[in-house]
Amino acid sequence: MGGRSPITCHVLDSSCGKPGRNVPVKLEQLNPAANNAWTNVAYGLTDSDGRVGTLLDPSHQLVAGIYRMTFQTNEYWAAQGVTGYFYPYVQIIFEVAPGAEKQHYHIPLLLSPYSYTTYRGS
Amino acid sequence: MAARSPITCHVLDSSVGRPGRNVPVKLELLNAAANNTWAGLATGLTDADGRVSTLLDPSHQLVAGIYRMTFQTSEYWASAGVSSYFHPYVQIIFEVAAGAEKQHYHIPLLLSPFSYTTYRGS
Repeated sequence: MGGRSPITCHVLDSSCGKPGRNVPVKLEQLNPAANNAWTNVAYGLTDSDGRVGTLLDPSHQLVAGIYRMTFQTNEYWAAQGVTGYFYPYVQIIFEVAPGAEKQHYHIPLLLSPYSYTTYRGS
Repeated sequence: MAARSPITCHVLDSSVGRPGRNVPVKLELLNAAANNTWAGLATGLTDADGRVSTLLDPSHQLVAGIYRMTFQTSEYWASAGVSSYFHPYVQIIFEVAAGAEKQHYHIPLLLSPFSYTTYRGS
């Protein structure tokens, strides 16, 4: 498999069965050395398949710790013309455990206006 | 129906098909007037049925705005003897829209070690 960002994501709009395109995505890391502030790591926008494939360079070595991925879903709904939705944005906090820094971390988000699901994908 | 907290929650552990008991829950409100900081509204612990039903007094009138409910799921997994899980905690950010302040807001969390689902319930 070609080199890829060690953290990837995929937004699917389950209300219409299509990828969630042009969703702004932000990736942060919790910095315990800075009073547990969140440090920006990367930004992206989901592509026509609902993915951000280039958040991090393939050569980026993850460090163990707590990460937070924020999906600015209100912008997505606005672009769809959907005015009734429950979550202005979705934040998924996940852990890269010590010893697991070389694994791949894929964050799918199955999104609809009044529900969402996420899981560790591959 | 008898009066109840205008915001309620329910944690279900879908990995075992049982309520998520003793999950610490925190409810906050985004304070736009205070530089968008989160103001603590209530804390609770899920009961034997995985619910917190007393977060707010039944007489509490919700204000329109953005709320955040945090479930400290790491503590739940620790007490369940599960050492391997992906999300150290779950934060669900939802909106009480202007004009919808008298509605009820129920936040179910269907939780397993590497996945979760939430939706606006009733």
